[in-house]
Amino acid sequence: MPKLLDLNSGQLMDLVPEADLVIAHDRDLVAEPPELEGVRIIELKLPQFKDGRAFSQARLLRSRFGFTGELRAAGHPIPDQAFALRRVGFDSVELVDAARAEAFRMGLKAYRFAYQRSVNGEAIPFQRQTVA
Amino acid sequence: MSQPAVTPKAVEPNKAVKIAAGGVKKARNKGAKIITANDLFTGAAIYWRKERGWTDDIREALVVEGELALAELSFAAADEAHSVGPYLMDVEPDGTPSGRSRLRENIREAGPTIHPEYGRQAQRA
Amino acid sequence: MYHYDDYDRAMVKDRVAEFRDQVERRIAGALTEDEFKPLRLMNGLYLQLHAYMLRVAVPYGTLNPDQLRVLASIARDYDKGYAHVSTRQNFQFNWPKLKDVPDILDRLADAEMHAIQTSGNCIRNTTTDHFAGAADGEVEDPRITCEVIRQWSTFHPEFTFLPRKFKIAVSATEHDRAAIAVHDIGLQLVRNAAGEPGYKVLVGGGQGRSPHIGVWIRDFLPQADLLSYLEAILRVYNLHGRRDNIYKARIKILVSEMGAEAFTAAVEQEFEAFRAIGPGGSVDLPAAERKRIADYFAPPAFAKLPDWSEELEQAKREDPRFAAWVKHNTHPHKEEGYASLTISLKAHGQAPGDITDRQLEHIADVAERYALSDIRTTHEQNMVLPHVRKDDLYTVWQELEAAGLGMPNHGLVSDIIACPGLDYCNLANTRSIPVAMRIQERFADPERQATIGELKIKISGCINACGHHHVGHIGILGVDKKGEEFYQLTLGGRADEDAAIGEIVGRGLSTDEVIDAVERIVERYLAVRLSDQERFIDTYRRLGADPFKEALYAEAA
Repeated sequence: MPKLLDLNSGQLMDLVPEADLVIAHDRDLVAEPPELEGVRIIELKLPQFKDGRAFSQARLLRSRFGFTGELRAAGHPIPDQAFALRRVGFDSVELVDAARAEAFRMGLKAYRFAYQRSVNGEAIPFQRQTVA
Repeated sequence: MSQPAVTPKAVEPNKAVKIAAGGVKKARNKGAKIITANDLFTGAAIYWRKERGWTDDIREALVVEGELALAELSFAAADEAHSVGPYLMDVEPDGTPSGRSRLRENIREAGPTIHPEYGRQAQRA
Repeated sequence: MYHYDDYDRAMVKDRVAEFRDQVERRIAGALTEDEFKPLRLMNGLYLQLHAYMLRVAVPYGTLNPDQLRVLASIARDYDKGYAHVSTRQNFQFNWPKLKDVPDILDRLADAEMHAIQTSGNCIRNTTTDHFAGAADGEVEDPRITCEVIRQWSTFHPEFTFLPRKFKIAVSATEHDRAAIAVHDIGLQLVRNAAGEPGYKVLVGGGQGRSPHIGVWIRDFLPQADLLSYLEAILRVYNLHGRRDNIYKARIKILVSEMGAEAFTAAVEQEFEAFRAIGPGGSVDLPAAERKRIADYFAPPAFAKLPDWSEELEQAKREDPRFAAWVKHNTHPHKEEGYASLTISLKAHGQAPGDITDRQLEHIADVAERYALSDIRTTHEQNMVLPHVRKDDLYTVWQELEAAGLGMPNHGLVSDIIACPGLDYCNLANTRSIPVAMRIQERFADPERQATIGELKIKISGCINACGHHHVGHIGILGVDKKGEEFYQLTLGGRADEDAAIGEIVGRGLSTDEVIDAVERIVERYLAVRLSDQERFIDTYRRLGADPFKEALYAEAA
């Protein structure tokens, strides 16, 4: 049974409710802005882990279109992408194989810092001299 | 090297497999072949033996053809504990590299032509 | 130079720990090769013909003596006693064992080095002028920009799974020594009418199987806006770059398929959107953080010296080989009484860019004593000491010469760029290094080399063009024909501010033929040049390819 991993808490959850909006990995969000009225959950896809378009789509949804609901990553993300997924604004990952949850949790903890601002308002490393 | 306990991965008969030409291109399974790969630990070229398992001496390699070559490749491919990226290379019936990738396979076997002292050729001498 | 703070150290150490775990899992069978391969590549670990190859990043080609000693120790303890300077200012080790790589990376991390993003479809090491900080007429030290980009691009969450690899180069002088026109992004530091520093921005250059000279998309980008503009370019590329065909996935193809105008408009639209967010949400660097980085690149304490060095002039009069070395291997310095010098890694009989552990340590010692502890690698596979007193040049040269590092051939016909080719590389079709060696042999006479003057020969063993053949004055591309090695010549390429892609001349030549062909081209040049002041590339520009084709065909017929 596919499960959902919460990237913020590391909790494994049932895959409910389903996403209100599924955005294809090749959709040009600038040319075709999404209708976000009433949308609470958006699913973005990595058709294979090497296809990183969803990382840009997520940031666009957060920073350009102001989406504040849940962003889910589906398709074939790998555990080593967990940290990056969270930093570009994903909240959760769909896991076809729930046994991989632990590897994703490890991925989330791989780094203590990042050099880039997170769209989630996490540490702003370029200001590390003033913040730290 | 130790003989691995393996079960063969299924090779679909019509599926293009990595054959010859350095394991990067696909080719037809025609003529005599040796199964070669890189050693997981050192990266050195290694060859599949008749008794199964790997050797670093091409003279000990199994020379096979046709369906048998594919079948042995499937055993070799299942042995990820020792090897990386096994494929079939073209050889003469006596087991010396032949065809388009002859030069490449000779260099893989012996070491860099510019550094005779660093390759396997030096270790043999 | 830049030094790691606690953040940088933690980032690199975390990465090594992560990779150590991944290697252990691969060996234990918990990771398949398919799963492990992208992970090792992201740590610069390739699998080549006979062994693994580890590519170590040398950010913008700057090293200190301790780092050189660490590289030497790795060459000695984990490799076969030598290392290799790549055509992107990095170091490569050709024989590491898989289980040793985490230890090697730990040793590198202790010396503030890493192998992060030296492979994979991410933003690679940013390269620059090897005379940065020493060259006259710089807007500012380009390494400040490079370090800003290094930090921003390291593990960038949005841009680590791009359609293809991505290379940025920075130049701060009018004369471009960083080949920015053949990079995915080229940044030229400039000043606007008000005297403020900023960047002229070029995109879509590249070599490989479809070489492109980049196009300028912005005449002036304020310095403070650099990162948001880079993010805009990368985002357009990440979203729209082709992913259906690996050979069409670089940004140069996107720029040419969209058209430079449409591409620029898309970038400017993204950039405007960043600006609309305002400083709070901007990705740009706060002035204080930029200053923190810039301070590391403050000029070293140069002595006040007269520009004329009688010691230098006297040594030149007495030692002709030294005089030749001064002529070819030293370069003007912005400070009076100083010079920059090139250490040629093109001694005859040696693979271009190879250097032994002892030589590395030797350079470290010399740099410490005579060169303000500053060392550079060049994309031409040489090394540079940027700050040496003219009074010390003779002593320095003698010490280099004693270690086999005093070749007076920089910029000459034997100073050849060559990729590793089929002697090492899994992608190569033909060998490159033996061709370089045979050309060096053919032109072994130093006087003949000096007579010919500046001539850049660049050799690639396959169409991927790591040997920069497209931008060689004479380029040589190896092609495989039914298992035999053949070589295709190009003429008139150049990688400087007048960058051009070389023109293909003639048919594929055998190894013997290509050495003769190079010699015929050189002889024809000597016969038709206006004076010994007219370099090969100037003659080519004046006359085009015809006289050289004639020379090739006349003999062949």
